[in-house]
Amino acid sequence: MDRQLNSELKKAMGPAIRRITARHLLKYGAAGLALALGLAAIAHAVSFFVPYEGAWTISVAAMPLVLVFLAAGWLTRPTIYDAARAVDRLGLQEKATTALELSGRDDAFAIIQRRDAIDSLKRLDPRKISINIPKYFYYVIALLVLSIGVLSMVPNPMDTVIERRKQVQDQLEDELDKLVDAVEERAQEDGLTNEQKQALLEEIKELSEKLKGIKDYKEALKEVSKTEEELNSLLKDIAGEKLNELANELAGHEITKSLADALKSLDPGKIQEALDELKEVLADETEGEEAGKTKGEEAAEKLKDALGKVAQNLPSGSIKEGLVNIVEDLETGESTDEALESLKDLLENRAGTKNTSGEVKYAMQKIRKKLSDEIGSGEQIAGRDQDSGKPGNEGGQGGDKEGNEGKNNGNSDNNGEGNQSGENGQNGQGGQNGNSNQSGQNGQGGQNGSGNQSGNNGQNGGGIGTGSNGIEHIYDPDRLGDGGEISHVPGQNTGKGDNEQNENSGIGNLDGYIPYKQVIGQYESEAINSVERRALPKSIEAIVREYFASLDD
Amino acid sequence: MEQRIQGFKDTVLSIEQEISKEMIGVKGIIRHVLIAVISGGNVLLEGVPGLGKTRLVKTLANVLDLEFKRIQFTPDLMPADIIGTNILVKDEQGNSVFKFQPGPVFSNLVLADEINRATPKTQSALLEVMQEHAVTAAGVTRRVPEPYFVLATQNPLEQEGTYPLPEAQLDRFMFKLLIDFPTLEELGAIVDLTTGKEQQKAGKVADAGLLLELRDIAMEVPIAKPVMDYALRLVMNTHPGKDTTPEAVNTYVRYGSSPRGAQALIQGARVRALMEGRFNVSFDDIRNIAYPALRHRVFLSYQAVSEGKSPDDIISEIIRVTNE
Repeated sequence: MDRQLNSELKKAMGPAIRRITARHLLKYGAAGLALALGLAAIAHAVSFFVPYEGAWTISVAAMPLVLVFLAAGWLTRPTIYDAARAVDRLGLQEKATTALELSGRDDAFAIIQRRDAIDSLKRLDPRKISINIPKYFYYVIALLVLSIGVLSMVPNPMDTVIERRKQVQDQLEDELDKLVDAVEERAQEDGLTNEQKQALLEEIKELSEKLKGIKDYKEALKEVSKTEEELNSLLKDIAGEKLNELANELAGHEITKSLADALKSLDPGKIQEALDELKEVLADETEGEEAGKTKGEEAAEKLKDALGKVAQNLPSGSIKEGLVNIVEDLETGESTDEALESLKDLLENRAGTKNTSGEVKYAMQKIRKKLSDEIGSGEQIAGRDQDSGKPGNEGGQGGDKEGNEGKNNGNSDNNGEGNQSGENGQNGQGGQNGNSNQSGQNGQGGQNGSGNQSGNNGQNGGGIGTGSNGIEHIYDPDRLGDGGEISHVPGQNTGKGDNEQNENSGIGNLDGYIPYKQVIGQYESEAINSVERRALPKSIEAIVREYFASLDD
Repeated sequence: MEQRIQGFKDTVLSIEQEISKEMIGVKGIIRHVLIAVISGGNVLLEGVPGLGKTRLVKTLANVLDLEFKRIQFTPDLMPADIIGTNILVKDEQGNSVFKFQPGPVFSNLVLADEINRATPKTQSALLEVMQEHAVTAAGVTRRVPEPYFVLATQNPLEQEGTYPLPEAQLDRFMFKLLIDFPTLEELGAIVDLTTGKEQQKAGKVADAGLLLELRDIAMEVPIAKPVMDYALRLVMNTHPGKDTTPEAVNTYVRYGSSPRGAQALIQGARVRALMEGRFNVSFDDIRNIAYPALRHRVFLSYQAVSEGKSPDDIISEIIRVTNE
């Protein structure tokens, strides 16, 4: 009897339990949905302030929360006791709860009470147990769906930023590919070993990894600078090895022994001295040991033989090719002066700072330019970042008019903004303007730049100076970098002085500075207006027009 | 047994109907008095004179066919006048011996009319018999007949020359019932009933044995744990200073209910459930019984009195804030 009643009781409670469980699961599902939609709405809202593409991804990824909540709801589903309490609240006056508690008893009262509870449960319309979730869930879900809809329809200003970033990323990848090509080309040209090539490519690979998805272009610029330094260092080492190899070969011949010593010392002065000595020997007009030949001609013969043997012994590469060319020149009766000049160029190219591939440098410059453009365009905070370095003060004092050693120890943290316009000892004014850059760190073109290195220039490091009131401070984002190192630019004409210039490439604090591209148009139109108003002397008009035309190029 | 359980409601209903023949407009009071009587508890009826308190008790005694005694409490009433005393009498041999002369408490149903007019000493004479159903006189304890109830009345208006019942005495009453003035219709019916030539008389529908049987049945009514827990929390919440105590209790209550309050609550709820035709106690039963069972056990502070708060106000607040 007792067992039968218990079974009847549970059966009678069945519909109630099912509806209560359904309501419970619906509530959990709705809560999960509300949470998922909330996350999606937040993701969409944030995408209006932070440039990222993951709003829809987050929205979709949040949807399984509904299942998680449903699973949680199932795990915490109402027990039969909970169902009894719920049913009792519908007017059963605690009959169901009491009946469940009495399910172990079979005394008269327990039996009567259970029967009463079962009868009441049977009379109860299960539909009285609402499976509707609270209304506020509907409101919240509707509101969130509406928010997401509105947010996804309203044009998002960050989309352009994301698009721009993608473009920059693509362009950076292109430039990195070009950099790889340049390195491989250099490796081919100079006959680099596989290890040397791999070391260079490894640096580029690391840079490529670091630049992937980078959002802070200032940081990216730093990474580029670091890689550039590493590449320079590696190329310098490689060049040193090659030079050493050449020096060893040259040392095996009497005629080139002093040149080999000078080359080993890596002292441009000594190299020049050795070449001068060689020049004097080759110019010796006195009669030589061999009949009909001057000592100079004999020496030229020896030099030809020596260089020929050296070329033979060297692995293939640009040095070998250079030497072969000089030998051929000497064989074809080229003047020894020209041959020496070629040898000088070859040695200079292998010594000192002229060891970096122009293509490599150019590719790095393009990457820097791209990043600087982005910083300059104000998309990134770098240009305005207070953490940036201080704007460079006026650069160091240039060399004096006598062409003595000019020092350019500017404190600029900025990448030497432009003008190295120091007075030139020998060649007068305007040694380097703008694009010229011996160090290869800054400016365009490196060795191939349009600048005009002329002698031992005193240089006035420009830098982004402190400026004075009333002056609009502009800068060229292309030329921003970081760090900076002191490099020595050997003087060519006097052979004495060399310029010490701070090769600054830090971004600097650009507060108050405007990228020149933003104002150049205005400057140009003002200048043209001035020309048209005839406010400028006629002689200046052409210069002004030419200047702005050159900028357009 | 099942038939007796099923018949409980009908029996009580018939008792109510019989009492209602002589009592108009006090259905709630009749029900609560019956609940207390079936539970074996004493009742304190409070109301102005002329509302039929004494008549109710007399009718009840008649319908239940119980021996009924009435004690009119006055300031000069002595304990011996209530419980009885030893008197000197001649035995069959002519010797003088003391014989116990039982007082009016030796009855099934005792009406202590205007109980607050007697001195505390005399009121205290009722303590033992109300709780123990026994009387001790001259060192001898004598039991009173079962079932035994004390139904006391008191007039809330007349305060002069009265002695408010001490807390210990109040706690002996299972219920305290407040009899309100009847409505206009009820008053008319009362006048009709009592001034006509032929007055309806309530008949006997039960006896002491049946009453004891009903009490036994009521003792077995099951109560679910949540309901029991709710009742106990209600009682706990009458005490100021507890974690769950409502602010009103902290402010207006000096002392809360004794455990007898909880007993009265549960037992009264059991009887009410049966009277409602149910075989289990519900939250509604507890809430319904809370007022008569707790109102004389919640002792208000002076602030409550000065602000016109009644114990019923406090109980309402406790019910409001106590979750099922």
